[in-house]
Amino acid sequence: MRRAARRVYHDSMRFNSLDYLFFFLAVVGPYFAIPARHRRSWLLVASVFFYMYWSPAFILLILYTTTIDYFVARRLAVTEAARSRRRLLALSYVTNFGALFLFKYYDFFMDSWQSVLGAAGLAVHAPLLHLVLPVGISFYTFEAISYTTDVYLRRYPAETDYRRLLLFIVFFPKLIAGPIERAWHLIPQFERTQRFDYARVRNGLAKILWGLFKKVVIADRLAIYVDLVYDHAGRHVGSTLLLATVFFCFQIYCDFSAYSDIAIGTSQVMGFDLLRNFRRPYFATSIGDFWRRWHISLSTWFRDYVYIPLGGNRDGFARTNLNIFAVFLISGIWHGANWTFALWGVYHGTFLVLQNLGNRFLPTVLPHGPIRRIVHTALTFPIVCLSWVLFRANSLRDAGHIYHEILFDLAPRAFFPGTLAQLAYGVFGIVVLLAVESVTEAGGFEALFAPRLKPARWAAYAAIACLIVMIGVIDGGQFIYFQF
Amino acid sequence: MRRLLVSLLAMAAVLFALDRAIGAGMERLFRTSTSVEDGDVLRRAWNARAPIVICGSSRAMHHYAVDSLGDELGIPAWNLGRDGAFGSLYPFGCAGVLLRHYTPRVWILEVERSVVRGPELLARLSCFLPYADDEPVAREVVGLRSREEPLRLLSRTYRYNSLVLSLLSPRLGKSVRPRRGFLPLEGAYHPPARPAPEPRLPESVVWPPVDSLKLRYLRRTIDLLHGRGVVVLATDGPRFARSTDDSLGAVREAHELGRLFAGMNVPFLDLSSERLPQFRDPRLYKDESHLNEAGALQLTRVLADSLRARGFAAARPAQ
Repeated sequence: MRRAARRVYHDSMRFNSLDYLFFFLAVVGPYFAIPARHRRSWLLVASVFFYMYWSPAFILLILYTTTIDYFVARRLAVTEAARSRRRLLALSYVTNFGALFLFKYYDFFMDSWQSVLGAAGLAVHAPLLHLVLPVGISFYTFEAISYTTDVYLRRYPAETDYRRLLLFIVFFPKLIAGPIERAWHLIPQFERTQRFDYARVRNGLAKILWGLFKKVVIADRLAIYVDLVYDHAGRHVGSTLLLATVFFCFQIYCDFSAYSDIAIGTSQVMGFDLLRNFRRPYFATSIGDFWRRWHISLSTWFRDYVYIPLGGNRDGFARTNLNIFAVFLISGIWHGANWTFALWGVYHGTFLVLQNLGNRFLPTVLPHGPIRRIVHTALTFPIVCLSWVLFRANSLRDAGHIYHEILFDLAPRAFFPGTLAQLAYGVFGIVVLLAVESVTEAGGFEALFAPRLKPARWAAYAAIACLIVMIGVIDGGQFIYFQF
Repeated sequence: MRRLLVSLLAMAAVLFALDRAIGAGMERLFRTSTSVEDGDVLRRAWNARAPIVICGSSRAMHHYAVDSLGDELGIPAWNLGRDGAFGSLYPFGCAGVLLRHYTPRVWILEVERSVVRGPELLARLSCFLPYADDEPVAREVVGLRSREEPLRLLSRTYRYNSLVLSLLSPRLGKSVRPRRGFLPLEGAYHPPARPAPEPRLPESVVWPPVDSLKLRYLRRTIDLLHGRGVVVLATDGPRFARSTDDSLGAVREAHELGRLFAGMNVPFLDLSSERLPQFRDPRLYKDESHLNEAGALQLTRVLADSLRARGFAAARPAQ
């Protein structure tokens, strides 16, 4: 089953486009110039414009779901009867998940259902809708659900100002691909008067620059080789497929974390803190540790709204692992309407369960310390790396072929090098990334921002900017997570 | 706020100076590099003033040994093949730039179905960036890449984006003997014993629809060349057919291209392995789409015979 083609927004306002640069300047400049009481309205107008620049019609969907959520939350705040409260929450879930299902999953499930029935000899033709996926729907749906659930659980009061709730949903830096925000974290920040802070703005701009570097110099460069190989997986041997898989491992990290960095940096410039999304995931010492470092805002969302409601670790070892497995299966499907993503979730869930079993029943071999840390990181990385095959492969068939070639036929014969310059740029990017992340992991990166190191900091900014122009893929593609 | 503005202005000044300095260094490197693919290829071509020019994708670059062709016909030839230049914008840019400097006698367009089908690979048009200041056609082609292009061109470094390694490679010992744009491939193709597990692609993927931009620029290329009295020939070189499907596809492609170019008064030479059985030998290939040097020499002889039959042998080079 091949991955369904989705519309790509070629003319949209990508974070790595000049359109976004102009938009950013046009929003941030007046933001600090206008009186504080008008800033929230200004951000709302800018955010709605930003979304409509992508897909004008789908703003109506956001307005529809947000309006329902607003009134549901207001009613929840004044309703005491448990049954009524549950019904109100169900209304919010049906509205939000219904839209998500219709646009993202309907065709997938119908197609799969027809295949199953077809295999059983029953020819059924259910109509497929072929709807365009509203950009960012997976992200803002989860934010809306977290809001109404928190109000239901009385963890957060119902928002009385509709515009504030709408701004929480459409706040442009995180609207398209997260971080998945929580109402308790972001909405109160809209109420504060943001004053111009030089250090904060500088750090925000530095984050944006580093994000651009990761996207343009590393991710999009690696994508050229990865696409060449993965789009014709059947033609390549194990060594080529392994290299492409390692490249994809860094491509997806740089691509997604670049988006998060630019989103967080943009917000930081305007005085807002978004949730952290990444913490050097490839330095993880276990699969569990990996998920505490990768797409953190999604992991914590699943923890709070799926894993804990399922019982978390309160109902015994077996139930805990079942809950973990269920969460990862859902997480896989969240990423995309395709069996490859579902299996990707199953893969991680399985390894996490195995890790729990190992922790419980196997003795600790290595004492705590740097050597244990290095060994565990070296063991975790290949497991994570191989999981990306399922994430990137165009079909289950391709994924099967790639695993077979990598695991059983790794001979370097007929290795496809692409162009050597592409390989060299890609490796250079990975080396720079690992060097920066190693220093950061060791806690030394913050020292770069010490006042006495101003010349070094400036040299770093200038070098990054020059490298972007010199070897960046300026016409690179869309951020990968936009399709989700 | 003032401190930030001062810092940003200072940084902009530093970046401007760095951009100019790096851009100047890259321009010098570009002009002097002997890199076959990414050096100052068009300038070398117009300085050579070869009466026969072959233009197209990697299948042009690796298939036509123009030095041998020149020897066979007694007319110098130049190869402007470029990896990934499957569409019609690359030949348009080359023709537009070269015609400003001299007029060749024959222009051979190596084509395949993607000359008009499927979207243009705009990223590959970056080869015209270094010429964008001086050559109007290069600027037009570059402008099609993105509406941001005029702003990007404010940078001197951007013109040489991603070229630093390939421009430096001849100086780092990876030297290729210049053969007038021809780049021979070494090694032989070994068809896979077991079938690759690739799904059968839908018709719309194998034969994407005709792209109006490509078609428009193909017509403009031919009009441009005909307008200057250049004889244009279209060719479609051989591929290794792994299956009957491949053979049928090649026949269909040749038929379609023949019809397309007939409508533009351009003779089409079908050089496919279906038409030329000697190219069904895998030892002549580097991979299923590219001939190795032995194959290229054979194909060049076939092309030379064809050109000779059309009266292009032993003619005096145009001045």
